Amino acid sequence: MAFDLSDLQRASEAATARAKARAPKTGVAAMLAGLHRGELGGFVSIESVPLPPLPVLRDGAWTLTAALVVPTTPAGPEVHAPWALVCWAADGTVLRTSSLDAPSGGPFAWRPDRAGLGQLCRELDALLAQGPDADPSGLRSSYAALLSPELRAQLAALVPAAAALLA
Amino acid sequence: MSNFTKPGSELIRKASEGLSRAAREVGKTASSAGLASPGRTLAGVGEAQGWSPDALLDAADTELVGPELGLSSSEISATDSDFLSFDDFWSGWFGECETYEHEWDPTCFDGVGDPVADAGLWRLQEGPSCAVNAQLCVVESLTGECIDQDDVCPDLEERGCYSPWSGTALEDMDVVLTDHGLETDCRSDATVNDLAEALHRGDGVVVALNAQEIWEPLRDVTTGEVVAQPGNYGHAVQITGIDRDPDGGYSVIMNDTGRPDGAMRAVALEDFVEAWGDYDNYMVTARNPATV
Repeated sequence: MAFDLSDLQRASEAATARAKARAPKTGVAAMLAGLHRGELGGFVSIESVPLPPLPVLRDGAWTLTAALVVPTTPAGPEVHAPWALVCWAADGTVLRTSSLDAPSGGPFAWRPDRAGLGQLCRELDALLAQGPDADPSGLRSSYAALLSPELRAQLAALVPAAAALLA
Repeated sequence: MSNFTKPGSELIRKASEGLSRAAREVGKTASSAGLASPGRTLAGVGEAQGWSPDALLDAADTELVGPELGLSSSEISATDSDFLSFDDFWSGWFGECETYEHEWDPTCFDGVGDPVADAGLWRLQEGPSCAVNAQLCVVESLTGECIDQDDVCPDLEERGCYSPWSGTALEDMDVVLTDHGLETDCRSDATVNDLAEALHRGDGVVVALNAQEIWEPLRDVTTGEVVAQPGNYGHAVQITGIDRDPDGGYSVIMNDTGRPDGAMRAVALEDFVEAWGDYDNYMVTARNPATV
């Protein structure tokens, strides 16, 4: 079969348009999807995976903090201790990034539960929409399902303001 | 565009070399496996890591959780059996969907690049070194020099270009290439045609992408459309070819050092585009100035 660059261009442009239409535009899923793009892409290492983001009330507004980890082996069941934190405002603005230069502990059992993460993203969207008076305690079971006790303890130490959700 | 495929006997020899290397690498990794959870305590981990919770979080909430938080793996409550099956859970979320297995026949390859020959470059990575190993595949392709990651990672780590804890930054995705005398071009917002043209020129190509979308691509069972997935599982691969499929679609062929079956792995164009877009279509091309 002859290889036609113009046909490849048509096919790839159509696929790109469909991918952009599918991509989350707003909300927590969009924050996570954008982790390796734009300015964050210059900070976040290629292999980084965000752990489920944690809501923290700060200055009367919800923020989200996600720890970044790297699997010990690709798609393996364990990750190294978090090496960085990313903090977003509710509107998706990146407030801060911080490197943890000497990760300690671990490796930690973890597997990417995509469906569970999708569910959590929707729950966090609802929380952010409710405003600062919303009670996040209902999210505790979601974090318990997504993260091992060891990893929850690690995150609680890194993000103490969210420790109650990780107990 | 000309056809870059080699005569049949050469194809078979190169593919055989690639599979032999794959077998060796899988064996090596298996023998070195066995990372044990040390179950260390986490007391003061924030301070130990130079992380100041006060800098980010409300000062009133910075109390650490306790001095003895080391937990054994036996305390992990969420086991495999606690999870719904992937398809069951996902169906309740986006409607009926299923994982998609893309088929591609290398013996019918008539595209751009040389994925069969390049399969011989594949190796299995150890640790978060996909970007390093993808570059080493290209180095071998363009210089003939076969280098193991253990030969370069310590130096990269010392120079801050790689870390076993965090991997490789996007801006360092060409360091191994330039270290070995190759000229590189790094850019975001590249197109699939840019990939094809680079392969056509004989350049080495490395891209960063979301591995979730290529390792377990999802399809809506009703529409057949790709289902976008939450989360982001970063990865880098060597692109070795693009081929036209019998059904009129396209396959993007790669050496994926993150998988035991990663040599000459083919991904549907739709899934590749989905995965690559999560990295702003970032592409590194490399050429050997000595052979230009």
